[in-house]
Amino acid sequence: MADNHYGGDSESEDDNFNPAPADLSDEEQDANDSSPRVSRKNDHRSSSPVADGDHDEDEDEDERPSGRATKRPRIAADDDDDDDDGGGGEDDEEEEDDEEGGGHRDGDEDDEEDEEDEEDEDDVQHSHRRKRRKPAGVGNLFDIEAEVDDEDEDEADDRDGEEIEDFIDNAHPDDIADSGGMNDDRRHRDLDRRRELEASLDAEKQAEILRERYGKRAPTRGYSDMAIVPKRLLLPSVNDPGIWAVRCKEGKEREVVFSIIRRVEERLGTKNELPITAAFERAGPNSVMKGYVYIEALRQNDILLSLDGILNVYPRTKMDLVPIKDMPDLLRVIKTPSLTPGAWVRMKRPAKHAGDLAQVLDVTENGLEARVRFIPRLDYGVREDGIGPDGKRKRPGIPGPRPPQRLFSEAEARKKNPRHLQGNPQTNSWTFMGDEFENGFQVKDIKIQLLDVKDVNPTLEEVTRFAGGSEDGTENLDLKALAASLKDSSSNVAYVPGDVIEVYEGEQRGVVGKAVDVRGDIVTLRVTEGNLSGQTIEVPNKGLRKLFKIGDHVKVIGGSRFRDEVGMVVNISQDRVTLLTDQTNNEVTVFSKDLRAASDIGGQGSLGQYSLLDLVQLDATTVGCIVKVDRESVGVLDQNGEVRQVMPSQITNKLPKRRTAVAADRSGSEIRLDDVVREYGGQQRQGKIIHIHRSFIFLHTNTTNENAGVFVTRAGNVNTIAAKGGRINSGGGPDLTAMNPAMKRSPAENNRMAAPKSFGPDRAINQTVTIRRGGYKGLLGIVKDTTDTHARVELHTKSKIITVPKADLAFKDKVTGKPIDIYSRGGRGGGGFGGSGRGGFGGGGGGGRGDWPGGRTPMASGAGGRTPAWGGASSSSRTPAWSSNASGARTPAWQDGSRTANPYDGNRTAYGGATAYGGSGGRTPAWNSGSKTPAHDGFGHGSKTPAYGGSGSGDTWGSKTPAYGGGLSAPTPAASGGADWGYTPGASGNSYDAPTPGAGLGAPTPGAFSAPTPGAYTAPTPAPISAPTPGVWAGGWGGDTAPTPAATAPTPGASGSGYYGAPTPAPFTAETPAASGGYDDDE
Amino acid sequence: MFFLHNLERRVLLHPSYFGKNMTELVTTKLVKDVEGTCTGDYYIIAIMDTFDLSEGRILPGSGMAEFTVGYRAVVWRPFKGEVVDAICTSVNQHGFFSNAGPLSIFVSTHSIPPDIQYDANATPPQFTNHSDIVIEPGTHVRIKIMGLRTGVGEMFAIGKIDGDYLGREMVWCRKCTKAVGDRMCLRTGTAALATKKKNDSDRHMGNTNGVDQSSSSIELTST
Repeated sequence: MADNHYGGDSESEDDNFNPAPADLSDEEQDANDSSPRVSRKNDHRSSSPVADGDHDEDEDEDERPSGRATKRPRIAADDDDDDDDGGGGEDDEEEEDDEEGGGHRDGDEDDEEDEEDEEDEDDVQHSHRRKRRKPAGVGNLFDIEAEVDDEDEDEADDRDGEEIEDFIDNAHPDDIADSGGMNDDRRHRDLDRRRELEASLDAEKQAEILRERYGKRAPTRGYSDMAIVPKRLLLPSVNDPGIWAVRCKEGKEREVVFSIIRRVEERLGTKNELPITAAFERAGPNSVMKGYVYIEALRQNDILLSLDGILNVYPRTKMDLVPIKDMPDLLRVIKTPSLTPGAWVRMKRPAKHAGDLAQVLDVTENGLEARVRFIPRLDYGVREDGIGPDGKRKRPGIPGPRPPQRLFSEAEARKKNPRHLQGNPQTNSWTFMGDEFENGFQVKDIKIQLLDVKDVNPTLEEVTRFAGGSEDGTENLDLKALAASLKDSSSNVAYVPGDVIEVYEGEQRGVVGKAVDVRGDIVTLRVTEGNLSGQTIEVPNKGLRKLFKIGDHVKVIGGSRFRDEVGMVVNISQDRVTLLTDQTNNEVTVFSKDLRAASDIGGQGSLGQYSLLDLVQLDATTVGCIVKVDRESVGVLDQNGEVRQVMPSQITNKLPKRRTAVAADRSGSEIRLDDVVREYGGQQRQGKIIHIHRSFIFLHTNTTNENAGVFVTRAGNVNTIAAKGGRINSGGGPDLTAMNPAMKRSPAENNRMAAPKSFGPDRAINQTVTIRRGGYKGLLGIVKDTTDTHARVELHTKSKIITVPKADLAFKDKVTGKPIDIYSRGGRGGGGFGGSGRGGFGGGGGGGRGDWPGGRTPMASGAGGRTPAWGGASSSSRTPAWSSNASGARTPAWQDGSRTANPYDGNRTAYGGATAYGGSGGRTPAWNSGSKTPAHDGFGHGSKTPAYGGSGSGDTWGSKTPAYGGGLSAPTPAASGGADWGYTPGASGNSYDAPTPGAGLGAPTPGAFSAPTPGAYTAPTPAPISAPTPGVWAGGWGGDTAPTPAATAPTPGASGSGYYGAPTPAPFTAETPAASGGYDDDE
Repeated sequence: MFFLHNLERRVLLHPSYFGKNMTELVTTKLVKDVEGTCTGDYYIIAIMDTFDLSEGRILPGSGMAEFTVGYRAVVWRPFKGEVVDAICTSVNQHGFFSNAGPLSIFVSTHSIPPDIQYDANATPPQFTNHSDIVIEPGTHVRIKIMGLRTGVGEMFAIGKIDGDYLGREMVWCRKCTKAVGDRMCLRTGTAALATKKKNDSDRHMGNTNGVDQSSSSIELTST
């Protein structure tokens, strides 16, 4: 229909503003079908001029379906004459006037049908008024009945065509009475004419007419019977008058509307009654519709006519037709936000404070002004006079750089501008330069229009400034007021499919369901409870709230300062939900609209890559544990126990959790992650270790919420309560995912051997070497210096020192030029042994030993010289160092080696012993026992010879054998005994699985043989050492396992001690435990 | 609720342990790995036995052997609505934490009968109705689980004690048959306490007020 409007408009414009009423006739037909008008127009407009437009419209109508079909036939007939007159003026009008006049007279007497016919000719208002007119003519009683008739009115036309009887029946007795003579003739004529006409129409048109008539009618009739008409069916249609937005002066909207009303009243009942049906405005301080008045009329022309001469409105400049779908919105009632004290608002003016948050203190009774407090922006009179630097008076409100928000400071005011300061220090209320200040806040009465009361969304920072004084800014917060200001912003209520929703308002009140679809304001629910269960209904999201149950796991989403907290619901009252946060176990209360169901999987809060309880590096010397994660910063508990608030950017990096980190507690027991320890002294706090960093440990406890239950202390300040997996008590067996320690023994030996090498000067130095590859291949030289991987070799051929990878060197005997392997020998502690053992042997059996002696002898000298030095060093400082740093197992070896070596045997044996022992099945126990002392003994004992034996027999051990291999050529002498021992290794070989190896101790026996021997031969130095070893060993073993070996062992021990006295063993025993401890750690 | 649950797990064994007693080692490792852990839904309390130990399969790359072991374990899965006995571990003004075995349960003040109030002045702080009910660390309480949160390797629950038969768990003195705290009977000085829960006295456990409780003890003494 809108098209038609426009059609009409343009036409009318073309016609140079023909009298408006004529135009209206176009709308009239629409109006016929439209809902009842509100505005009341004068009844007798029959005399009003009817413009050509009328006919044009009618013509149009023929081409389109319209509610006016009823009258069409006749009009069509009339049109025959009139159409051509097109833009005809007064003549036509008068002509029609006459006609109408007659018709009207008839109508008064006649039944409705006639009346209608005339009215169809007439303008819309007229036809509408018809309803009223009848009552006016006949009386009140008639009115009611007439209404009923009215309903059928249009229809009646048709019906009378088809069922005349019905029509006649329908005629009201009053009507009949009224019409007196019952103008049958006329009616019959009328009817005939109509039939004729109808007959002349083609079937299609007829069908169209019928459809128009009945298709529309049916529902309309239905409504009248219903108590409630669904709102959406009352929405305007194309048949209703249009609404035009007319530009007017901003702020004068209401005035304009009032002037229109006045004019309507003035002209009511006159000929030039205003042809508009409604006028309203939707202006408001925040409205987007300000600067417009809205006029409802059938034609644009009517508006121009009506508004002509009214001040402040400019119909000719701009006039927009409001689209039909926007009409309901235009009339939507918006609840004016009510301000309550405590609510948050934003100021729009004064400009200096634009956008600043303010809190409402009070609202004046007339509701126009509010007393608000806000943080002043004062410069204390720096620009006091408003005189700019150029001497000109500045315009107030000029947007200059505005001072920052700061609380009012009396002192500063006094200093800068004492004259303008008055006030009372007691109440802390001041007047400064005309502004009031209370407790540092500025207080001011401001018009409500100048406040933004919707979508304030105060941020936490802003609010905390107002809440100043309290620790964390939470105490003074009035959640309700905050709620109120937040609630207004309904925009941030977002429902997503899956939300469980309760309807608390409206028709569906009480219904609970799960959202399955959300479209705009409409939420589709699948009802889960009650009678409607299983059905899907659509509800507007206005009356909805999310439903949670106690125990639900929820996440706080937008609109709250607790945003992103996740927790479990512990309490619900109305729409306020209390939840216990996962992170900190604090209770927070938020609105259910700000919540969303979360999965039951707990997640720690995180900010970027940093999450709760992470260990982070703050600076080079400071680390800390994250104990709080906010939206933009994290709280970090540093190693000194202080909590800092830092930005993620201030964090250097995140320290990965080191699962293997170990520390020693107060009693020296090892503690690791997840162990439960208790502080010694102090608060005796107890907690689970979450981080170990150097000597600091971060602990977590559930007993307190402070710092998320995290506290920091020194490792040396705690006692172990429970080690994970009961490590302390039983050791729990071997770690089956790692290398079998029993196996490890042997390969480790190689490593172990390697270690001593790095102490003292590299044995390669001063060795004669040939270079095996590279440009210098084949050249002979002497190693001058070495690093771990390279050697600097002074070439014999030319005086040049080159750097060669050690791997490319082949060592030669200085004298014989035979290739030697200094490392394999030395690796075994050979240095030590070389010194002593070889020295000893060298004399005795050197020749017998094949190639060994040759190589060894020279070595011996060097090594021998070294030995004491080592011994000296090791006995005091180095050895312990060793034992603590490296695997304990090595220590004794070292000692042996260093100490001497007759020990060469001993040394090696030591390993042998260790192996055997390490392998001793249950290993752990063996271990433990070892750790006590016997460990030492193991070595000591082994060292005796069994080592030898072990080595000799080592073949079974695979890995060990090669280790020995180097040295082993030497053992040959021992080999004699070796036969006996041969069995030993076998035993030890089994040892992985069974403790049998303990039995391996058969070894001692040989020990008895061999150990003394070197001792006897060698110099005193080694001797003492070798002697004690067995002694100690004996003790250890005796205590630990099979008595048998112990029994045998003593013998050597006895001999040893017999010769050299007791003192030596003492240091041994002392050291060993430490060593074993270290070893244990290592494990 | 406890269940006997058939489970399966893959166990890795270092090649250095390959040998005769491998199955034993695998079982040992399984027990060590699994017992006492929380899978997210339930706690594995104990392994009853293993069955169906698959053949080991060497994993390329690491050389570890992977065994698939079926085992039967006693598991405990807490449910919403389940009533459990727990021991209070800490008390703060928002409520108290308690442990039901491995499960930590928080009981909010909202879920504590209104007559039981937080008393910050007591040492240690406690919830008390200033009569016979005192909830402090160490107190036995009977809690209904209201909500559960599961995480990796841990679970957390919130519970309530305002409900029938919930709350302070009473213990009865063997000698005087009176309901006493869970430590010692002050009347007789005996520490020999029995946790006998008679049906008739059961209803006095938990959210009883002082009057009720005293009447119950009278009953008990008279019987």
